[in-house]
Amino acid sequence: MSGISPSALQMLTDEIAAQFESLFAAGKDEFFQDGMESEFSKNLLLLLDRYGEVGVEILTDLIMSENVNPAVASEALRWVGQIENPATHLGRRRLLEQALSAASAWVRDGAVLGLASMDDPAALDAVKLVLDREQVSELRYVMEQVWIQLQSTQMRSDK
Amino acid sequence: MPLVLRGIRFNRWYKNPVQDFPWLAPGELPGDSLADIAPQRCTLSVYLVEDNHSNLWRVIAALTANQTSPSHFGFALIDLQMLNSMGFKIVDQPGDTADSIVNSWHRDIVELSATRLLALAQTIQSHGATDQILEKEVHNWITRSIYSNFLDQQRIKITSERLRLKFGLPLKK
Repeated sequence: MSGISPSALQMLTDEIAAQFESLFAAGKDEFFQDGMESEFSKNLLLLLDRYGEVGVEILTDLIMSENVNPAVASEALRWVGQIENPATHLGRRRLLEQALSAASAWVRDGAVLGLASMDDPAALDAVKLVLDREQVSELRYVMEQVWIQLQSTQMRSDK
Repeated sequence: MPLVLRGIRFNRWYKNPVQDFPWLAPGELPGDSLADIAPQRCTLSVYLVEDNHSNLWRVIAALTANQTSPSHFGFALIDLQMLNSMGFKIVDQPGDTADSIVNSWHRDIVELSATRLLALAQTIQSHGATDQILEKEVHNWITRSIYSNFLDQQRIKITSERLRLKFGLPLKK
């Protein structure tokens, strides 16, 4: 976004953030099911496709503010991990790693499942760190599964 | 006796989700979990799975091939004999997946009142097992079912272009 004045850039960023906030507000009325697209997921993928890295940064701020509905944030994180776009891979992985420390177990669940979909062994240390301190036993089990999967992926890529 | 499988979202059945629902009494389920077993006309769709889980992968492959964008798959397993002994009425009814054998393992739990539904949820929580298969394994199982010709490709409902290409399926027009 070079060539844009700081105030214009701020206005543009605010406008994009408003689109994400509106999407998350509408998402509260949806019921999410495993493996099924929703209006929320379709529009989230459209926004992330349109705004790329800027979109990922704004989404990160929104989710980490913890002012959004945890069920919607969890759903968003699952889909963030499924996107195949090398340009935003690092930013998306960092978002998922940060969200592993969210206060809500549902958000942490979405984050670790997003990392499972991404299947990037670079997230191994982040998963290991939260795995050792996770209090919800079922979520710790999921984190263990994901950690084992990432280890396996790393071993195969080392061969 | 076999087990009965119902697809759920795994995190809605966490037994002690204190950070999300600090007001929840120990042993109580969040109300959200009931949405996973919401009946249609007082009937709930389930599939039979062998005690030793030998057909679990095939059931899950068929169920997820019925989804638009298969990913991680959460499910609950309950002992069929326990449901029978509790008076739940279970009837044979062919399923609607792309795998005809899996369809023969489909059952309906019928005549579910709101009271019976709550009893079912409590049975899942106290006597059943909940689990989740990660996306990578789900995709392996779908691939295995496609290449074993267990899945009728015309009946696979996956709409994600990315996944259809991954599974070698023709793109939908």
